[in-house]
Amino acid sequence: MDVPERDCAGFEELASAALDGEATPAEREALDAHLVRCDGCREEAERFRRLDRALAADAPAGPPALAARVDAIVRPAPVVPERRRRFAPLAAAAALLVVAGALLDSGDRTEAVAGDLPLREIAELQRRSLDDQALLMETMRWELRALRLEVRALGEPDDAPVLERIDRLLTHAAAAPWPSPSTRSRAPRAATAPPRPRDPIGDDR
Amino acid sequence: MTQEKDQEHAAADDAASLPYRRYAERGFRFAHAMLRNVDDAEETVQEAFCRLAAAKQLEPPAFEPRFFRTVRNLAIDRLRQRPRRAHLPLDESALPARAAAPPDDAPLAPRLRRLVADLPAPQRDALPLRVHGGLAYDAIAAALDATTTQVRTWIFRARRRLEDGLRRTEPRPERTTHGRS
Repeated sequence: MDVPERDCAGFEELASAALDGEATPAEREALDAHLVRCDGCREEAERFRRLDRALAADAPAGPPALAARVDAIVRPAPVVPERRRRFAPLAAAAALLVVAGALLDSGDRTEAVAGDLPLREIAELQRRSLDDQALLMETMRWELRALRLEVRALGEPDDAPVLERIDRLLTHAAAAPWPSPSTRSRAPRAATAPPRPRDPIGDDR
Repeated sequence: MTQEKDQEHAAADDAASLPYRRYAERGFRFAHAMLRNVDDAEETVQEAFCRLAAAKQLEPPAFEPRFFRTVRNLAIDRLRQRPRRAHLPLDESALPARAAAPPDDAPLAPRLRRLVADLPAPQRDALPLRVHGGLAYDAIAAALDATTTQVRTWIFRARRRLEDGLRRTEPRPERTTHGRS
């Protein structure tokens, strides 16, 4: 590469660029040759170097907390793989099955704690336990409907057996011998209670 | 096994964010050169990262000039707001450990700051981007919407002007009365 003829001013600009590592090899060679025989340019290059050192020394180091904050900004939130996202409803269905199974097997839990309690307290405990179980069953029915909607929204052909299983669970839950809490011992209060909201998930069936 | 995977993920995260930490350090020095205040410089860098992350513009290689341009613009905004502030804290006492400077450079600092502040706009931006930001000329050109040739000239002229200024403002040795009759 040809390097144009320069006067000292031209070499000073070149010295500035070379200080930043921005001179081409040919320019660098021409500069070095010039600096050997020109005291003025050599001194100017040295002054530039000292100036840069002084400027750099006048800047503080960044606060240590800054790095941590930058990490928090630039690190992406953990991404859930598509396959895991797809199977999330199935995992939820499995969890529901376990809960349902445990509930159906639990029987009348009040027997275990009844002991020597007076009959009236035992009856009250039994009533509360049944209320809780009925509420849980109702919640599960809602969850199952939501789950079915979610699986249908995914639209995967492989999910047909899962939908079948959810339907079977729903049928089973509907046929379960758990009376609704509002129709049981709280009947007098239920009469004055506000009407229950519609089931938006169920309406979509 | 899970612990090993967690460690691998942490190491990968560290490796991924390391370049950004370096950008943060350089951006901080550049912002500090403009603002002369540690808190303002830190907030400016943080805000620049937030904005670029929100705009999903963190990917290299365009990140570097984009980041420094954002830092510069935010620093300019802060400088514009300053006259309206009731109080400007003096920054010197809050500075963390400074890079070691040759002893003979120490008295230069206050004069240099004044001279840098008096540089014409493109030179005032280009030289700190090079010295504090560590940007190559083409990155400075991208950050300032200029050509590499312009950047080269601006930086040379800035150095030249600072040199002249330092020579002009050099404290003169005190005159003694020795020899007077």
